[in-house]
Amino acid sequence: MSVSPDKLEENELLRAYHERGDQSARDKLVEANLPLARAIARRYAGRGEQLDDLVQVASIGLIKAIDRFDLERGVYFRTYAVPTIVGEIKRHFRDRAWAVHVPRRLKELNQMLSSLIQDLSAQLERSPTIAELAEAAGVEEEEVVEALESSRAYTAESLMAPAEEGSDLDRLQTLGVVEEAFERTEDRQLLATGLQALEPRERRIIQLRFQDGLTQTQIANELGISQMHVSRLIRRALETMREELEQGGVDADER
Amino acid sequence: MSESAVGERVALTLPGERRSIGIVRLFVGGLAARLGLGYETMDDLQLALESVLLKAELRPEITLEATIGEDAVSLTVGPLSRDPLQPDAAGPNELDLGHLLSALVARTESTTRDDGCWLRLDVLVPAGSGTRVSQSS
Repeated sequence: MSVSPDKLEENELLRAYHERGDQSARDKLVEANLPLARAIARRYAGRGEQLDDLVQVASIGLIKAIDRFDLERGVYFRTYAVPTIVGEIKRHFRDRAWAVHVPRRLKELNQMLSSLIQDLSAQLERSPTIAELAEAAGVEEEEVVEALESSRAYTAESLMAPAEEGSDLDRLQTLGVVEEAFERTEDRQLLATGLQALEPRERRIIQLRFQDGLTQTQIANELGISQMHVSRLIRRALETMREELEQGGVDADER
Repeated sequence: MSESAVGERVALTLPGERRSIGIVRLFVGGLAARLGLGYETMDDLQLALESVLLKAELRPEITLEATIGEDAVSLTVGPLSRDPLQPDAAGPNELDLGHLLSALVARTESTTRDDGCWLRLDVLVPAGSGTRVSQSS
C-alpha cells in the first residue's frame, strides 16, 4: 500500500502551504513522505550511527525540502526531496560522526586547538603556526596536524568518495539524477541557485569569504565564532552548494 | 636555530581518487609545520586542493609537488584530464573553481604537459615565518 499522494495532490498541498501558510498541508506532506525519509536513513545505517537518529536527521531534511521547494520549477517533489534528505544525512555524518571514530585524545586536542587558535590569533595578531600551537598545547607538531585533520577527514571522506562496487551510497547519490541535464543553464545562475540553498549564516560566510575577500579570522571576529568553526561552515556550505547545483540539473532536465 | 628550506622540493604521488583528499590535507599540514605557515594559510591551501580534487577529472595516479621559494610556496597537482580553470571545461554543476581559488591562494596557473594538465597554486609566505624553518628544540 502506498501512502504517497500523487503529483497533483502533492502540488496542491505544497501550494496550500507555500501560498496560504496552511500548516496542516505541511503536516500531510511530512507524513506522506516519511517512508521515503526512513528508506533513505536505512541505507546509511551501520555506519556508526543509530537508525533512529538517522531517521530524525532524514526527517529534518524532508522538512527542509518541503519548506524550500519552489513550485515554479515544475518538478516532482521527490526529485527535490531525495538529494535534500541525503545532504542532511551527509552533513550529520560530517559534523557528528567523527566522534565515533576519532580517538579521544585527538578529539580533546582538537577542542583545545580550537580555543588556542582563537587565543593565539588575538595575542599574536596573526594566525598561529603549527609550531606555536604545538608549544601552547604541549604536544608534538605532528599531533597538531593529526588533530586538526581528525575533525573533518574521517566520515566526510568516506561519504564523498565515489562508491565502489555499487555501494548503496552511490545509488543514493544518483537516485533520480540525470546528469546530462546540465548544459542548458549558465554557471552564474546555478551559482546563485547554490547560494539560495544555504542557510542565512552560511550564505553570509560564503559571501564574506569569496565575494568580500575577508579572511577566516576576520569572519570569525565579525560573527563572534571561532576560526575553526568558520572553516567547518565554509566546507559545509560549499558541499551544500554542490548538492544544490546537482539538483538544479535535475530540475532543468524535467522542465 | 633556523634552517633555510628555500629550494626544497617535496613530492607525493598517490591514487587519483577523491578519498586521497585526506592524505593531501595531511601533506599540506606537514608542509605548514615544516615552513611555519599560519593555520589559516594552511587551511585555505587545504581547501583549495580539496576543491581541485573534487572538481577535476583525476587520472589513476596524481602527483602533488611542493616547491619552496624565497617568498612563496608553489603546489603543483597533476596530471588532470582537462584544465579545471578553463571556462568551457567547467561543468555547470560545479562551483566556479577559478573564483574560489583566487580567494584561497595568491596565484593560480595551469599548464599542459605531455601527460595532461597540471595546476599550480602559489601561496605567499609572510616574511620571517615561511621559508625559514624554526626549530625551537
